[in-house]
Amino acid sequence: MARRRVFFRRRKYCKFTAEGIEYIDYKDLNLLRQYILERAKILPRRISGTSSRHQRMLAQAIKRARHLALIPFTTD
Amino acid sequence: MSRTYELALVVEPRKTEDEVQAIANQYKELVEAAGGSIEEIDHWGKRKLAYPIEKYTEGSYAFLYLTSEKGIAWGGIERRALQDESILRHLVVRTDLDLKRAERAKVEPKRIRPGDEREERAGRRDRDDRGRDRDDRGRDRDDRGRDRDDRGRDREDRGRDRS
Repeated sequence: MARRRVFFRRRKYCKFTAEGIEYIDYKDLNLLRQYILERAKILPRRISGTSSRHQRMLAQAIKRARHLALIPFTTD
Repeated sequence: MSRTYELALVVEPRKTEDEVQAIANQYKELVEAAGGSIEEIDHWGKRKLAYPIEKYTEGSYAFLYLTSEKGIAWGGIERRALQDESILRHLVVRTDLDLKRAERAKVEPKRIRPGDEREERAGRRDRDDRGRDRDDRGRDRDDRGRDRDDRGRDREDRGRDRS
C-alpha cells in the first residue's frame, strides 16, 4: 500500500554542472552570496540542487571567503 | 608542469595605499626568491570587513597571482605573514588542481569494474509472500489483564525459527 506523495519535488539541477564550471573562486562574492542564507549559513544541497562535487567546492570557497572576512560567519 | 598559486593578503586599514603596495611588493620578492614568478598583483583597496578583526572594521586587500615550475616552500613566507603585525589575514591557494582533475576526468573513460556483473545476480530475492497471511503471528495467549505471574522465568513462547 504505497503512500501518495503529498508534495512534488521540483526538478532541481546543479547550475555548475549545467554550465560546466570547474573552479569556484572564493573571491567571486556575488556568486557565493547566492548560496548562503540570511544567517550566513551555507545552503544545503537539497535546497540549492547543487551536485555533491560542486557543493564541496562551494563550501570550501565560502569558508575561505569567511577567513578573509569577505563574507561573515554569522549575522545577528 | 607549472603550478599556479594565489596569495591573498589583508592589510590593516591604517596603511596608506602606497604602503600596501610596498608590502605586496615585499611578498612578491619573497615569492620570487622561493622560485615563483608573479603574473599579476591585484589591489582591491580598502574594504569593509564582514566582521571585525583586531578591532578593525576595514582592511586593504591585495592578491598576488603567481606560477612556479616546481613547488614553492610556502612555510617561510607564511611565517613572515603571520609575524607581520600589519597583515591581518593571509591565504595561500593552489589554483591548478581542480582544473587538472577536470582535464583528467574528461580524458579517461569510465573503467569497467569486474565486480559489476556479480552485483546483478545477487539481488535481494523476493519471497513472494506479500499480501498473504503468513500465519506466523504469535498465538493469542488469552492472558491480557491478569497477572501472568511469569516474571523472571522464560515463558518459552518466543517466535520460533520461521525460515
